[in-house]
Amino acid sequence: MADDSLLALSNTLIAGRYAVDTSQTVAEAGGGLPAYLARDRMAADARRVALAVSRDASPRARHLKVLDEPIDNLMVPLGHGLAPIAGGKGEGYFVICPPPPGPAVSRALTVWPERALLELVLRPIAGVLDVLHSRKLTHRAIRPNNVFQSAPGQPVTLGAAWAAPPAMHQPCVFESPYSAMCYPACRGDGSMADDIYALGVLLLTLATGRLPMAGLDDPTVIRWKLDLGSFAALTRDLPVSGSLADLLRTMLAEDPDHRPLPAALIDLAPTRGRRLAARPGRRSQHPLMLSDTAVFDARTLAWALFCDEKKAIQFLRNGMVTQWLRRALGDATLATQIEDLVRGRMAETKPGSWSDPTLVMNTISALNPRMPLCWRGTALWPDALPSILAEGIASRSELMAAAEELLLADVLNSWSAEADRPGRPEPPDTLLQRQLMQGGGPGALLRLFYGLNPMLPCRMPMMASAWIASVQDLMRFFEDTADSAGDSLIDLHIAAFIAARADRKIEMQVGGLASAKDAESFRRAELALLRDMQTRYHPAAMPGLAKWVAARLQPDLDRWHNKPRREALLARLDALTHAGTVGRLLELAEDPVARAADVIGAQRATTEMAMIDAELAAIDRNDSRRFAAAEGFGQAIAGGIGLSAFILMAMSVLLR
Amino acid sequence: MKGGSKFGRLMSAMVVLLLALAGGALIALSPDIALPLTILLLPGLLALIMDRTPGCAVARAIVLFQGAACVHPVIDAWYRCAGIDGCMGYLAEWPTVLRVWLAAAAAWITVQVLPVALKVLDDYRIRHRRSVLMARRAALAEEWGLEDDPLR
Repeated sequence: MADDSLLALSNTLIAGRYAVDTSQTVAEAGGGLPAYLARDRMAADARRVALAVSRDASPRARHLKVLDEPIDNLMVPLGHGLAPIAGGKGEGYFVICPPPPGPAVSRALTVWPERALLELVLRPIAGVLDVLHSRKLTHRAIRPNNVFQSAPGQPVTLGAAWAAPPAMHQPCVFESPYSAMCYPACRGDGSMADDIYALGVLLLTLATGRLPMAGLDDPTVIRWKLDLGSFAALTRDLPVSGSLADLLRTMLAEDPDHRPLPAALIDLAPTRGRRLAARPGRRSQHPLMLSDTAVFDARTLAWALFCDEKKAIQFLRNGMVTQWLRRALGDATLATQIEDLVRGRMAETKPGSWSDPTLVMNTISALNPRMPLCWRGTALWPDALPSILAEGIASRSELMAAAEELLLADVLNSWSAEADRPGRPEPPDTLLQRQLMQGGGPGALLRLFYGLNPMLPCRMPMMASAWIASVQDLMRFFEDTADSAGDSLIDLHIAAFIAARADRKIEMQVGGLASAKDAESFRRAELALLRDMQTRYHPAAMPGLAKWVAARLQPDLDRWHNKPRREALLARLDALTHAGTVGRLLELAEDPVARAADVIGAQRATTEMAMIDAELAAIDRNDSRRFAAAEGFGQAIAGGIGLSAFILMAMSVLLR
Repeated sequence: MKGGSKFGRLMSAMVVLLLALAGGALIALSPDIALPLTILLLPGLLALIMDRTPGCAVARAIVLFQGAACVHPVIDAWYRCAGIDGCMGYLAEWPTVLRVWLAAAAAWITVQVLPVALKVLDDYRIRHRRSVLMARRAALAEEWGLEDDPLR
């Protein structure tokens, strides 16, 4: 008994040592994410923080894998996994981190002296970013409510950024305009330059004691940053000292290549006084009015085209854009480039529904290569595809539709080819995903979602309280719920989940399931799939599932002709059900040799029965004929007796 | 079957012909024996006229039975009596007539009873065969479930 409770307890621990208490929240520790108290059972119940992972937003799997040892001034992940939620509300997924050393710096924003800013904020965080950079990782969650300080005079600690997609909870101000204009889920891992940018805004916030551009809505923030440049827009009404201004100017540079690497920020001496000589872009004296936006340069033109796609197509077709580029902006090269794009679009003999959005996307990329992929009014970075799908499935159907179009129309590849975007992660291998979309049937997008978000659970409503993220979990779920299951366990949604999370062989079987033409072939394919899934992922006994399978095998057993054999099979099936191995049940029901013998035996029996029926009918039919035959035979015998007697008498006389 | 009845009719005609020839020869050779012999064979001769069975099977049996019963009295009369009166007195006396006619009656009874007995025996055989077949049929139906859906 004690062993059982110990086992049950160890099953609820994450990584075998962290116990999560979801009844106790830890305020601020998650930097915007729900955080709960956790205890380390192997360190005298030391306090830890468990960050809750949302079912709709994938945690950063690569970071959780790579960050396996402590890093100074960073809340590194210590473990991650499933834990029960208090009150019997099912289970959740948590990322365990060390507790923050103190409150977040956002709790009481004050003006930090420049020296403290450099020593206690810039250097520690630059050190953290340098380590991350060396491991080809980004943080993407540098903001005041995710930076903690134990006490005044102590270096700050950077919070966790592992339990949600990159930059998902970043305020617009802390992101470069090209990231800020994307939906939170569409920002992608980005590059170290994005972290340097966010760090620059953090330094500005702490240097002035208030959030820059406070009170402005997100489109205005982005427009100002594009129009004025980030540094000018952010420091518009904030006083910044000269040396700090130089530092911030480089950290907030428009070109990510001009922003310093973290190593350069640890020791500022070599870079102090360094000034960038970025060439200012062309600017027109005469604005192009596109909707309500007055466009003065190519950068804001790209933004304006993105904001109003209808007007964008109209202005591109009637040549207003190229005319303005050539005459007002004086950029004939760019104008020719756009003209070529428009001409190519107009030359299409059979324009599809993707033609106009593709033209707008390519035009925006040509006008400003730093812009993200802009498709039908949605801006996104392709490396964010997993979280885009997750967000799309959870709540934003327009994101889902955009992702589907992007994959089907092969937009991602053509956009990637448009311009080199240094620093960004490689776009995902879209060829495979496109093949999957085009050949994967109705569940292809779901399959892609599950494949790209390996830690997110199955989204079936009946699994809402459980975190089913692997085929092993799914098999356990089947075992628990098979009693109340209907005629089928695997529907389109679960099939997509299995195809994405299982191995290649199982994936092919799921394909066969989808192509089943009738209910009978679907039933057979489903049972075979369950058998192989149990063999591969859950070799232990599954009596609940076996009982369900046995009920589904009833039609197979009913087809047996030989009754004693059928009854013996039923008894054997019942015994095997308790053993809980689906494969053995199927073997029993699908023995081809015995089945063939049964069919042959049935045919023989049918033939023999027909012969018996024919003979019985002949007996009934030939009764009168038999009497006539008996009469003739009797008369012949009587004649024979008479003849014999006559011959005997004659012989007795002759031989006397 | 058709040939068989044809053969029967032929045989019947042959019997009648042979009897007629024998009767003619007897009348020519020994008319004093022919008359009492006619009386002895009277049931058989009447049966030959009245019998409607194929091949005159009943009459044939009666004549053969009577013939067998007449052999000894006719041979005795051949050697021991002379003249119609003598032969009538010798052959047509009641014990002889009764014995020959009883032979005719026995023949008739045999012809009537023997088919019925054979039919009873055959019925018994058929009933046994039928019960064997029914038992086998029931066993097949039970084992293979053929009553419900013979060709599933």
